[in-house]
Amino acid sequence: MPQFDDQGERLTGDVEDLRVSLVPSRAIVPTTPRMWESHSSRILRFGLVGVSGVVVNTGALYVLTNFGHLFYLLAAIIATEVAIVTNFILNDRWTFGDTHRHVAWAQRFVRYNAICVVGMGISVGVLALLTSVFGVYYLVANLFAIAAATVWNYAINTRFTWIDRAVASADRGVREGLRGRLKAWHVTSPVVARCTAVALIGVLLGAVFLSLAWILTANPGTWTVHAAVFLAGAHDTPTGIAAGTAVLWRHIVQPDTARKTHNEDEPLFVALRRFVEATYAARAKVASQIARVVIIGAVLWIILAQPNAWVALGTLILGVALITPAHLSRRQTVTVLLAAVVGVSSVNYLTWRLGVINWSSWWIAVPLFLAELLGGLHTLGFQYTLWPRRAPEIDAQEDPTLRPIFVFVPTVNEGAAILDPTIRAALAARKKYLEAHPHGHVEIVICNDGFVANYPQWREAETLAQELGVTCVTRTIGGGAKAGNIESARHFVGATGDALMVIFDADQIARDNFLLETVPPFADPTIAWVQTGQYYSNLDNPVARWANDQQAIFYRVLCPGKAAVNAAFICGTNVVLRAAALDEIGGLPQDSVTEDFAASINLHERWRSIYLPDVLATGLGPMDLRSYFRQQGRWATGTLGVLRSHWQRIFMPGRGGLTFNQRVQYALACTHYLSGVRDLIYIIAPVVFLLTGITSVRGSNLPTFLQYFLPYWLASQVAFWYVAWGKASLRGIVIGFGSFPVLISCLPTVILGRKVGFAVTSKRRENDQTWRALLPHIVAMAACVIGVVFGFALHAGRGPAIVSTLWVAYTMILLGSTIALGGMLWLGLRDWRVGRGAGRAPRTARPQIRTSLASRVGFGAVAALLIVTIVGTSTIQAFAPRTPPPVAFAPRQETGVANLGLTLPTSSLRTKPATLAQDYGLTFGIIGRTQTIGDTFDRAWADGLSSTGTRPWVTLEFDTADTAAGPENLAALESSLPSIYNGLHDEALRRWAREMRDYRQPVYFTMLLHMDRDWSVSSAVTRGGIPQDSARAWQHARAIFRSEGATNVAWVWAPADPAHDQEYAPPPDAIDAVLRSFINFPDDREWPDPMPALREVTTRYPDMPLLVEVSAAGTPERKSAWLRQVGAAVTTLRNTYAVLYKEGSPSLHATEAEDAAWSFTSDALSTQATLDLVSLLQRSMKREVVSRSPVGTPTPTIGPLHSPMQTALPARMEQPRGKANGSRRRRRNVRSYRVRRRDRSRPTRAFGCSQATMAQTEGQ
Amino acid sequence: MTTISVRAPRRRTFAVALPRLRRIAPLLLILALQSAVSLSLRNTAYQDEALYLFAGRQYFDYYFRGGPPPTEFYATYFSGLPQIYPLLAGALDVFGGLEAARFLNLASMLIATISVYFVAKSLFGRPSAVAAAALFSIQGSVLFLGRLATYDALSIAFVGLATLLCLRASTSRTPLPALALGVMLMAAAATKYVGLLFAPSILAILAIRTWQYHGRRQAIQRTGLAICTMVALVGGLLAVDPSLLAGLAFTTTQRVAFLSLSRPELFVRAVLLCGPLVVLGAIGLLINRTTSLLLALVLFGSSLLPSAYHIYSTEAVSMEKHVAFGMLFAAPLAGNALARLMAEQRGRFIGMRWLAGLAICVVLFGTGVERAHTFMTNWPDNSTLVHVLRTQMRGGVSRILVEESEVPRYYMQDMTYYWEWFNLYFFEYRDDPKGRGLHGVEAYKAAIDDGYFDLIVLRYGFSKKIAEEIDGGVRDGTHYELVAKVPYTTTSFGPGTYYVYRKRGGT
Repeated sequence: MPQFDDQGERLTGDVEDLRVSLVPSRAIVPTTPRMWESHSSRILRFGLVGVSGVVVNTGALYVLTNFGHLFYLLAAIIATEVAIVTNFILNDRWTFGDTHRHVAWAQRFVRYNAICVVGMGISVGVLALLTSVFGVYYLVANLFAIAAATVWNYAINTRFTWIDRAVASADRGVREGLRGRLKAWHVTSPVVARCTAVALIGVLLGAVFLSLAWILTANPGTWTVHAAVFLAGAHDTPTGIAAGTAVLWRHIVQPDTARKTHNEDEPLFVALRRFVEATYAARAKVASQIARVVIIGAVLWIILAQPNAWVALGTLILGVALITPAHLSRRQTVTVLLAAVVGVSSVNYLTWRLGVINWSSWWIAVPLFLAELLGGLHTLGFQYTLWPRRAPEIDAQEDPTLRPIFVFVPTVNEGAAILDPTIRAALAARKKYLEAHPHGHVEIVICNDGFVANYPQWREAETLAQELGVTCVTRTIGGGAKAGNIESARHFVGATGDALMVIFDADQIARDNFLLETVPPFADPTIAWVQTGQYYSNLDNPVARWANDQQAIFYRVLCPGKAAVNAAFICGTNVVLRAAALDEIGGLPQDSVTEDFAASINLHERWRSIYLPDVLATGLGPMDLRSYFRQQGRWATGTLGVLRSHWQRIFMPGRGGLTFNQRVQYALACTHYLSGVRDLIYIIAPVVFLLTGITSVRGSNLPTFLQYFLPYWLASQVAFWYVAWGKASLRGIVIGFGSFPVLISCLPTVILGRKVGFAVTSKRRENDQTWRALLPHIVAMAACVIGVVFGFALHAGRGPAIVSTLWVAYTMILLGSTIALGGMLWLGLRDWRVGRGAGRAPRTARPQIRTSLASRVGFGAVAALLIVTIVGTSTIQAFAPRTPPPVAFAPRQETGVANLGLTLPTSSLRTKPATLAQDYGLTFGIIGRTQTIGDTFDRAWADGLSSTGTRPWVTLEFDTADTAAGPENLAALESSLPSIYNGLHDEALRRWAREMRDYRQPVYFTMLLHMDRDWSVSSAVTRGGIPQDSARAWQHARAIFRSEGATNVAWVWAPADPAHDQEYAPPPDAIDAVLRSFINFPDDREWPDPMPALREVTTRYPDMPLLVEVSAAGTPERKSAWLRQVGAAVTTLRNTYAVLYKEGSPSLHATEAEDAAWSFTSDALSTQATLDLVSLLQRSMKREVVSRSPVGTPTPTIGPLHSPMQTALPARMEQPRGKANGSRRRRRNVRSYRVRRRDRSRPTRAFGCSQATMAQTEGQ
Repeated sequence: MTTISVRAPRRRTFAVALPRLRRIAPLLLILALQSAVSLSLRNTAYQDEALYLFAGRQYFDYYFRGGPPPTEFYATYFSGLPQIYPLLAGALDVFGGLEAARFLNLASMLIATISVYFVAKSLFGRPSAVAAAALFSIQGSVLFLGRLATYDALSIAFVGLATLLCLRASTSRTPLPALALGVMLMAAAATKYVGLLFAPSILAILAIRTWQYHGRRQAIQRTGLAICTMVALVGGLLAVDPSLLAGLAFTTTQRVAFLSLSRPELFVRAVLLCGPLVVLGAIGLLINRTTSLLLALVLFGSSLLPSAYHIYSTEAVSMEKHVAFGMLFAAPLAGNALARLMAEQRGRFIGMRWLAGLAICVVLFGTGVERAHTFMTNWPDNSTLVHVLRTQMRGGVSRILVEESEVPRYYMQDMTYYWEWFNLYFFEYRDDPKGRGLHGVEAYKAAIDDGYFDLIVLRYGFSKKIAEEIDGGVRDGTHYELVAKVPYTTTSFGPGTYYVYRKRGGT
């Protein structure tokens, strides 16, 4: 029972009592360090389980809602139950696994579930509240709901579900202590105190939830939502926050510091003060821990926020600005910066990628994501390995040259020819070493395994040993493969204890300074081995050279980084080992085909390693592809086998004595050979898409993909090649990629745990079966080709197709062969050629990395081609002769000469004139058509007309493809007249002007057709238009044409009633010609008499060339009679410039029969009438031409024989003969149109149809 | 005979200039990043931008082109002197449009960053200066202001320059720089009246630092000189244009909250806007060893002023802009903290602490970019609306009622006159036969009933209440027809639609 003084201060008693006196609820809010000691780990575990529950719950809710289509509250209940089950199992086994349970498992489950059901009620309530009332997105709201329930679950479960006897009895003591404490505080009822505490906590939580809800609903910024989600989701509020605090506490206050500073006999504030002092004393360490937390926080932020591409650029620039390279070389500085960018961009890409997985095709999407994840992790691991660190220090405490050295050269079947130079090189190295250290002892031992391997010439090794004066130990009892061989010899010659042992493969020729370089580090008694690089000397063998480049990435780039964190592992050869260290682990492990790698893990728990990147020995690389594949297969099997057997020591915290950095390095090394599966998925996924259209990504588009992928890809490529340049080459990448079949094939062996024999990499060519080894590559290549050919045709232009095609193309480069980049098949071809001439290639030691000539030439050729193209194009454009401006054109009335023309729908634009010419011998001076502003001037059509002496006439409508009425259709507004003069079409008009100007031939041009009627697309009488708009729009457009120099364009003014267009018309000098249209419908009671109508126009425009457009559908008699009236009229009026027949029905949806009815060839009478009209015009023209032609006979064609550009004769216009009854006729004409229009689907169309519309009509 | 060796003057070769360039290379990189991000922000003109530029053009025309005087008494409701920023921006707008005007603001914010750099360098050293400039330049408000053609950026630049000048004035041999400081402070305050808030802080820094360097007498003398210069300039300005006082009172000193929020809400908003930088600044204050604690306290206190002002006045409008003033003062302290965190340990390679510092910057940069984009899309993109209006507009003869007319008026000033535009803030209509004028809703209703407006654009945004009261006469179809619905998506108030009505009959 604690004792208190008068002021309530504790005098005696245990800390447990103090703790209880300070907090109302021990289970919920533990506060003192000691309470953290007892609870923090459990809270942490509970929090982690909670996190897993959040994941399960959210995932289940998502699946049930989106794929199961359940109502979200029902789905939330099911999801919560699923999470309850998983949480119970984890909590029971892990969180509360150490409690002494006094209730059965089933009982615990029932209790837990019952408690959690109440929690479920809370969570569903909170979910409904946040979703329905505050409008929070349901997945986010669910996180808050889970958080609310977690508080309840933890508080109650620790009391009822997993309470153990010790705690129960302690609780009783606690209660006693509490009573005494409360008594001292004059609080009589503990119930009151607890209720108060619970209420306070409730208020606190309420405040937290409300503020978070406000943040979400007020939408102050996305990142705050992310922060809220992070706090609520990732840390499982508030238990998670408490757990997170505990983690921070433990990180910042080191356990030993906390223990030192906390004295249980001291009051809390004293302990706190001591803690602050201790923290300040260890501020550097604290700063480092804070830095670690900040980095983790930043990574979490990237994961949650998934910022855009800016963040990668920002990382680079800010990194450059903030770096202070006092201790760094430029190379290291750049490496650091690139590593930071790679880190940010890869985390960003991978987390984004997780969110766009196409779950509906999970069978390809998930493997692809996992493959990318593996690639991303290795990219990160690569940068982590290369991060500049201090070189390992050697604490020289002894003279290593006093130790005996045994050089072991294991051999099986290499033969004396291979072994001889190796032994001689070892002898040379011994000699040089002994020259420097005469007191030294170096013994060379050939470990002969030929006998147990049934190698026929196994005695060659013994003979050679005798010749050269070295020891040979021949095993007679097998087992343990290479490790067993070495171990056998080691124990035979007594290389144990204080000895150092060197291992050389049979083909590794040591430099004479090998021992001089590798032995000194053993002055530090903590060094267990010194590893050197493994380089090949037979580089004139293509396979060996490519393999050497692959090796270089490891030995020249990665190993120094691994060594910096004491994670350089034994590579089996060119290594010096401390025998004592091996003794400690029982010698080289003999249960692995990569005994070196397995031994390293065992040794690294206590010993240190050194790596020397210098070329201290060279050996023979694989002589052919089959040997290479076998070597890769052995390494993969061994390494993955180690992963299988040692995964706990690598991945599980607290298991084994490896440091974090060593775990990272071993994890990277172990998982490296999973790249075979990764590469296979990389091959399959894009081909699957190209052939089936099944995507692995959903909810994204090409720009978004590139925004995330490009920074990641570019940064990782630049970072890799920056450090690998001059050390490795693309050949290394290619051959590594090409080994995917063998890496995959060894997976079953590893998974099933099958034992495999140690296969020595052959040092001579085997039977030439290269193509058999490359069969998977050929199949993959064929799949890629098929994918590209068929797939691209199917999905051409789609974003995923572009990405997939590029991807497949890259794969094909790796697989196949190009001029610039050799692929696997290219290597196979070379290997095959070497096989045919085997034995001719000399073996020379050239460890330098060379860039292939083909690569240089290829890249050079591509670059040169690009440069030539760019420069050439620019030069041609710059020096191209400038075309002179077109000759100005304005139609002038040539005396008595009237042109015959046609206006045609787009469908018959190219065929009809030829048909008519063939059938009736007609040629036309003008061919007209209607186009919209979005179209382009049909230069091909116009050129075709020019070749026959015909001039084009374009009627332009300011119409968009979609003119459906309604305020939602903003595009429809653009056809208004204010749109034109306010400049909305200026760009298009300029384009039209330029295109017409560049045609350089005369063009007739009409816009604002019938703007004085309500059916016009750009009407000046309806839809907001006013008559004054017409002239403004006309002049605005004409000014644009003039400014662009389109002087070859004649502007044809075409109101529906040109005789009475004063309100609408621009000034006469802005008009080059006037059009009068006569469109006569068959059911019109009266057709207008052309003579008075045309006279009215000539009265209105006495000096203006007049174009008369006619079209009619009716009985043959009526039509022919009317056409004859037209003929009479146009030959009478002297300013008639052209007569054009409008072919085809004015209806937008006309049938062929309707079109035929509107043609002048609809019947014999009409045809004859038209031909008579032509003859009439022809006679008039002939007379005039004959009278003017100085020589020769004029060609009897209808059309402008004299170009108006050449002959600008003064017009002899017929004066008006009197005022006709224009108003009546005008009304009649309008009315007849309107009657027709009522039946039209698009009344705004007069008779000019856009190409698009016509095409649409044809389609229908 | 005496031989005099003449030493050739040292030429400023590239080799000589290179080390200097390398020293300021970090700052140049930071400025480049700031510029790039700011320039990536896209939206049509904000209402205030359009108003200031429109007014600025009028002032420019009046002063330099012999045009008519400005049509409104802008000084009575502008939050800065119309003859400074609007005039400058208007002049740029004349020659280069909105982008040119916004470029002035970007340049101003770059100057502010440079000021931060040199202030921090003067107080804490070069590593802190780089970190301070980096931290300041990546704030969302700073990035945003570099792209918003309003007073704030130029005023911040003046405040930054004034702070820098103050540090120079405090250490110089003569008190004359204090005169320039007074001018600079006046320029900051005249550009935007809220700049006056920081004059005491800067004068305090001057006093404290001069006291340290030259003693009490010089401190009083130089501070007094700066104050006198300011007072003289203020007096002169008020004598020239007394209406400035009205503007100052209306927009700043006696401002009535335009968009009032509760103080806790504003506090949370302030924390979200500038919390990380202020926290870093507080750490920098605590670990400060290189400069006087009092001076650091003044810096830190000044950084809190804008937030405190908004929380006090319960005004939410422009808070995201004003906090940038405070960041100017917090950044040197924050830079000090960051530099200390990232400082290399002796004999060690670059490691965890540097990476942590970079991580802080990257997170702040990421959130800053995102927030700047959010700020920049707080108002609707008006390009489609302007496009639609151009399909209907007859310049010189139209009368257009737009809920917020400033933006379309700015974009269509090539084809319309200012008197063609009406908004929902104020309207007077003479409808009564007796000549009695109508105001407010009644005036709008009467004008709509008369078909007074040719076009009416409503969006039910900030003036939703008035719009709802008057839209009956528009929607009944008697005089007006709905011709377009122009949707917009990203604003601080969520998505919405512009409803464009046209007078029936087309006139």
